[in-house]
Amino acid sequence: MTALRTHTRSMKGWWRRHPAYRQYLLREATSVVIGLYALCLLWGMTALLLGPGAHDVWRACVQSLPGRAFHLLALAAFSWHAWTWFRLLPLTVAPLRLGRYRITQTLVHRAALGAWALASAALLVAAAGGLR
Amino acid sequence: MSDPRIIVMECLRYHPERDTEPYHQRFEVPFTPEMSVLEGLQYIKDHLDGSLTFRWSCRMAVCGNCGCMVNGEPVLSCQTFLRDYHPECVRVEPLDHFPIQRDLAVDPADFLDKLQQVAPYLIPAQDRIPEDGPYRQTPEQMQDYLDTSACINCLLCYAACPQYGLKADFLGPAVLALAHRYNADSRDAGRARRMEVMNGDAGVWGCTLVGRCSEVCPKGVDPAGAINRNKPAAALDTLRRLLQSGRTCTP
Amino acid sequence: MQTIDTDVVVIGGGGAGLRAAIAAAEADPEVTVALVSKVVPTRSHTVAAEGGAAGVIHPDDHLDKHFDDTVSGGDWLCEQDVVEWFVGRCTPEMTQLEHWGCPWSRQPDGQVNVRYFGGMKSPRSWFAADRTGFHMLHTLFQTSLKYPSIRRFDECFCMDLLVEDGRLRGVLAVYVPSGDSLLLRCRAAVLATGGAGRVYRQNTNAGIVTGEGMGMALACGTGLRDMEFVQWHPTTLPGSGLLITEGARGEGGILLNRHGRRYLQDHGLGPVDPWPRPRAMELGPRDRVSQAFWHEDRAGRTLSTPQGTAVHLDLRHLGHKTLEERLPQILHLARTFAAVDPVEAPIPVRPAVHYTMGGVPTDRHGATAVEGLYAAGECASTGLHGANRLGSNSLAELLVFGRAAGEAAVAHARNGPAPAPGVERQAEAALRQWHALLEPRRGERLATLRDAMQAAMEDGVGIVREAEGMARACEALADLRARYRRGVRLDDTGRAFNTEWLATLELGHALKVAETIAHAALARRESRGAHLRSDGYDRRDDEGFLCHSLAWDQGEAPPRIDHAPVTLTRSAPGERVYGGPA
Repeated sequence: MTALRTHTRSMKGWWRRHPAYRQYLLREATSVVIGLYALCLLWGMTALLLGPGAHDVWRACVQSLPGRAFHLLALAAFSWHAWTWFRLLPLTVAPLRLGRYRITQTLVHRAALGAWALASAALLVAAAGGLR
Repeated sequence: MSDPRIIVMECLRYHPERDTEPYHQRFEVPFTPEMSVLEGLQYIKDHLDGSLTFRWSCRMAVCGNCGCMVNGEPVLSCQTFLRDYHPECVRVEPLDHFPIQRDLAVDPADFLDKLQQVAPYLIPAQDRIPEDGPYRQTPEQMQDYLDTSACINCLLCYAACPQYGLKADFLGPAVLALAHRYNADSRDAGRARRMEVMNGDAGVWGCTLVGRCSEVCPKGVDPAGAINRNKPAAALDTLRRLLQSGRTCTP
Repeated sequence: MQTIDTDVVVIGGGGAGLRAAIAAAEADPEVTVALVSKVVPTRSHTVAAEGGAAGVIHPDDHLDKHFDDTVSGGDWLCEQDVVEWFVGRCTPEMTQLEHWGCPWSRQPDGQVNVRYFGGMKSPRSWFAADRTGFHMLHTLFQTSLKYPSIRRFDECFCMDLLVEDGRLRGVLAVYVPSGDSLLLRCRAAVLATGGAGRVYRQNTNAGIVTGEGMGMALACGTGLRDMEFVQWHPTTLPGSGLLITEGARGEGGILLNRHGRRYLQDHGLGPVDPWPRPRAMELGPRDRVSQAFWHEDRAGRTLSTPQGTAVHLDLRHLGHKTLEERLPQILHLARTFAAVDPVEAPIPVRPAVHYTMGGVPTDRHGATAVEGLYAAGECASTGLHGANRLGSNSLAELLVFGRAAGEAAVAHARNGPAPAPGVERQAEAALRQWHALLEPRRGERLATLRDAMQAAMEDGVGIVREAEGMARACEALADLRARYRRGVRLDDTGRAFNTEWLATLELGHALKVAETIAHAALARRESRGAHLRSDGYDRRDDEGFLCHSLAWDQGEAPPRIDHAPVTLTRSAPGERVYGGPA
């Protein structure tokens, strides 16, 4: 038998083929911003250790216009990542059962979003308390 | 019935003995509201161009033979209806990420080879003969694997998975879902053997959770779920191996 | 042409073919098995079977009941020794499939559940929701991957059986994607190519069910038996013929005419109450239920739909939960292809061709008249189904006779002579003939001839038949064969993936198979099972026709029909009683 010639299509620009692929790449890209935010936070903690001078420099940087813009960007990235990730979360857990009742994927998704909202609210309350 | 309306079907054409590159060809197809994309293709083959090549068989979304891309979405052409596209044109192309054999027919050999690798059959703890009678398995236990056992091998999930397109050795959604189908079956004891194949870059770790496979599955199989539910077990397996190899190294 | 030597060739990758291949591999791992299928095995038509597979396991059931239901269902045209042998082997086969992973539906305590089908005294159908054939096929296919001695040739179209001196010598095939030819020299072959429902226009069958396996066997001298017995499934979607399983009635679905009346009570299947009860009303056998539709239709009591007349299959009273659990695919089919939600509204249904009871005559081990050639599944006529197949017996048949044929083929291959070299010349000659179909020339389009064949069969050899119509069909088929010989004009003349060429080959065989159906029907001057005549032969005639019909190939001429006796062991022909008081 002679091998049949087949045509293999290129994957170049594959992310342009479907909105879902672009959303997926965006979700992955948010990890970069999240990583940068973690570095920023680490810098702040280190500054806290180094003394008031260093900490003031860090605070000034964070409160500057670019600093604020970066935080807004990070907030957007976090929100997008959380939203898209929680949508996929049910795919990563084994089917859950409560007695005979099967916990649906929608319920897992909603529970995750709820937990996220609660955690954020708790953090905000704690932060507000700290500021006072 | 009213006169049939006309829809333009634009089909990808490629002949391995003649063409170096695929091209598109337009056909004007009269259609009625109940006509599927498959029936449109059959009309072309019967009346306009007998050389148009595509696969089909059951016409009822269970044989998995008629998968193709319709306007960029992987679908079963037998249950995709022309009325939903009219008056726009319908673009019909072979499933993404597979080599094209001819026109709309792709080569499924890679899928079939990979399926064999994951031992997609029951591996019992103990041999059993018919005289022993059937296993007991409650409806609840069946729920653990019934969804994944519904896979019709239509390959739409592969056409929806960019990781499969980018990494040729990735086992892919359906194969991993079918491996999970047996792992999740209370009658099976072959998990360890399948883990050798599933725990690797070509296995579950090749999945980056794009999630499209589960969206396009016509049978509600959820391959993304099946794959990712095996990641914790795969991670534990790696850990166990590390510990074991550590133990064998120390005197 | 590539030549491969192998011990056993299995032609067809559906349920029977896969079961035969596995049985061969298990019988002797040293024996090499080539599994040749014109589609990837999971695309085979077994996949579309919905309702169930028969096997005695219910406490109220008994092998004798399965025997009686089968023989009376078959209107006493069954080979009773074969039926006896068969019923005892069904349950072990179902259990074997369970051990291979088939997800049979269960009772709450984990035991296998069974349901009623038409014509059954006790619940006997093992089922996997309403995807029974699908799960059986995939279980068999995936299990077959375990056996290294099975070498698959997927999308490899079998073109000819090479027979010399009444003995099978090899199989000629073509790789569909490349168009390259392949000669498999072998000691034995199992034909498992399925039925021929596609010779009719309205049918439940997949596009691949074109009957060329039967045609090839006919051409090499096996004859075809009982071809006039074609089963109309009573409940299919109008137009497309998509199958709505008998399991829907087994679960309690009812059939209503345009006046909302359960009309089966007017056709010898009543009275309605008490309901449900076995072998009555909607649980009557398929021949009777389809014939009842024909009478209702003639009396103008059917509904009209854009795709033709229909009656209503009402499942609403079963409730959403039961439908989702027991009949999920029916919900999907009705919603997608008929735009009807069975939870909310009755499904319009009408009969369509479903199954060919006849086929290549075999004994219970699948042996045919050609030494070394075995047959199993729908393409075979073991004598199990008689004049009307009982629902659920065909999926059981695949397993029981697929296995028997596989084992017999191995036994024959071990003792048979080695593949002989002379077969190449025969293969070359056959190949030239098939390649000649590719030569561009004048002629008619494939679809023209195919549609004319289907129309002739639909008109002349339908649910109810009369001599004039059948004779007209015979003439039309002879004419179509002559036109076919004059040439089919192909748009596609290349070798690679030329499905137009392969469909032309299929059509050549289908025309001959259709002719055996029409001629055998004309020759049977009685009514029995699925063969119902309206022209004065409307009763069963055991004096004249308690016999099989046999169709023999006569080259270009129409087939010769003669008759052969039926084996009766313990059930004397009696009246088929359905309905009646509980």
